Amino acid sequence: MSRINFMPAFKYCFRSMITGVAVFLLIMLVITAVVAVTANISIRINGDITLMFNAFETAAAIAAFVIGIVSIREDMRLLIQYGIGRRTAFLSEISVAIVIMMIMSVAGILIASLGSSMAVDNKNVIINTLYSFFYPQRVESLSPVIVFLETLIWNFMIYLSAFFTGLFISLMFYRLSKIWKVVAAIGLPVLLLVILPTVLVKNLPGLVIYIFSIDSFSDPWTGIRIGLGNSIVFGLGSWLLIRRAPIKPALK
Amino acid sequence: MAIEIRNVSKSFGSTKALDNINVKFDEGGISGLFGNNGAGKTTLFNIIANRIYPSSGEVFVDGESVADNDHALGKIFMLCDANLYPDDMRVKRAFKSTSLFYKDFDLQYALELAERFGLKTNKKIASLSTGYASIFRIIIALSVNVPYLLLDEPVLGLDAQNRDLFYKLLLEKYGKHPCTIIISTHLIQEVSALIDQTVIIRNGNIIKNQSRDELLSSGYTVSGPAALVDEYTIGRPVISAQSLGGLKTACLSGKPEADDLPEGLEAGSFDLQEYFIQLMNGEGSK
Repeated sequence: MSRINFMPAFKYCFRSMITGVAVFLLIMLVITAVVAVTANISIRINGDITLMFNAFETAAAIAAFVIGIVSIREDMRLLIQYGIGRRTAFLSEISVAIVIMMIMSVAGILIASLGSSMAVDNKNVIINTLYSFFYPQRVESLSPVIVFLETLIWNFMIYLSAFFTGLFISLMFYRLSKIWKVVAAIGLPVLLLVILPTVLVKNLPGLVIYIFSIDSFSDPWTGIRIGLGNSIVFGLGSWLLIRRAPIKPALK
Repeated sequence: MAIEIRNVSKSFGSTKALDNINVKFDEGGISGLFGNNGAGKTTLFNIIANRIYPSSGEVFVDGESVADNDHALGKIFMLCDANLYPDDMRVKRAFKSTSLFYKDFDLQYALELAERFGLKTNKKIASLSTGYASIFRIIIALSVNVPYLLLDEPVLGLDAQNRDLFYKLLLEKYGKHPCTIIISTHLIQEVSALIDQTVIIRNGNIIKNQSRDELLSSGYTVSGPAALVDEYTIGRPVISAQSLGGLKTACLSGKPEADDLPEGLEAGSFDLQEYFIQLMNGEGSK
């Protein structure tokens, strides 16, 4: 019989992750506010300016990727020290990541709205979400609630996908021997950026054309599906890497 | 109620660290796990605490396998010199985190002990010296009240005064909250008076698993002029022998017969550390 001790592990992982995320959100809030205030001052001085600003989603995706890389090893070590098995440690880590990525998604929309409301009423100054810049027709044609929900899910899947990619890379390097780390460090970018695109273009040109087509970009659900698929693949890969991983101490 | 290690083997590449180990640590009591460097003590502890998986065999705690089992693993606390705490974690936060996972963790007692040992709780764990890092881990181990406590080199880098304090506190803890304690250390002499059971491991094999008293009464030493000792040991079960100048000490199994001891020879009882050294010398020469 195997029983899991989920809640303490979840609480610990949440506490260790939320501090960094809170600092990140604060910085993004300040940047957006500074941009809005600067736009206001520029308009007063220069009369008219054109500004389209969005920084949150890209920065948040990078932050999610970094969280995926750095959090798992430290959390895992401490959880094992405190009698938590690998399965519970992994479950708590991804549960916390899901909650954190949802918080970041909501925060992104709120920060963009705040920036937009701080900017003067000028049609040439647009501070908004990345979703609004990518899918302006949907923003105009759909109800605000649907747009809000789609933005939320779209952002969430981007962050979650970035998190799982970081998690997988971190665990892969954790498990590999020194020589294989070097091989992976060179081989992985070559595989993803050279070999895979070449093979896809040669064998599945229809898929490549679709991914980079107007059709694909006109529908946020394509991105959401790709993000979900990526998260599942890297999530399962991460579990396979961690399930029997030896616990190595931190370097002092 | 026990920790049971059944047919456990572990290999690291071509090195066999543990070779089909079978041992049981019953509930209650303090056991000593002794062995030379590289004998497999830490590997055995790491397998019990599920930090590494065995190549074959299984570990059970109160009948439950420890493999990825929080319930069984929650009954064990392992102290070792490897730092598993985050680089930026401070001592006080580590104490608080411990209380998150172990409901019986006595935070107040931990803070009291930190004061007694002179450990500053606002310091980062990663910045602690070897001695204070040991103190930090000792404090957690003494304050966490679990049924099974594994102490791997608990007094590493500690001065004599703090080692003495630790042994006193360990006995105090054992008196207040009886549990199963397994100590692995090279300072056999210092823990000799504390332990009930002795497990000796060599090259991944358990070569002795006996109660301390049984083990110490299972043999005796004879010392004196080398020629006399050699003469006396003929036909007797010698465990090992050591010469220094013209003098020799031999460890023998069984009990000495008082009338049988020639003049000039002196019989003595085993001392655990001496026994261990003699056993290792004897085994090594085989």
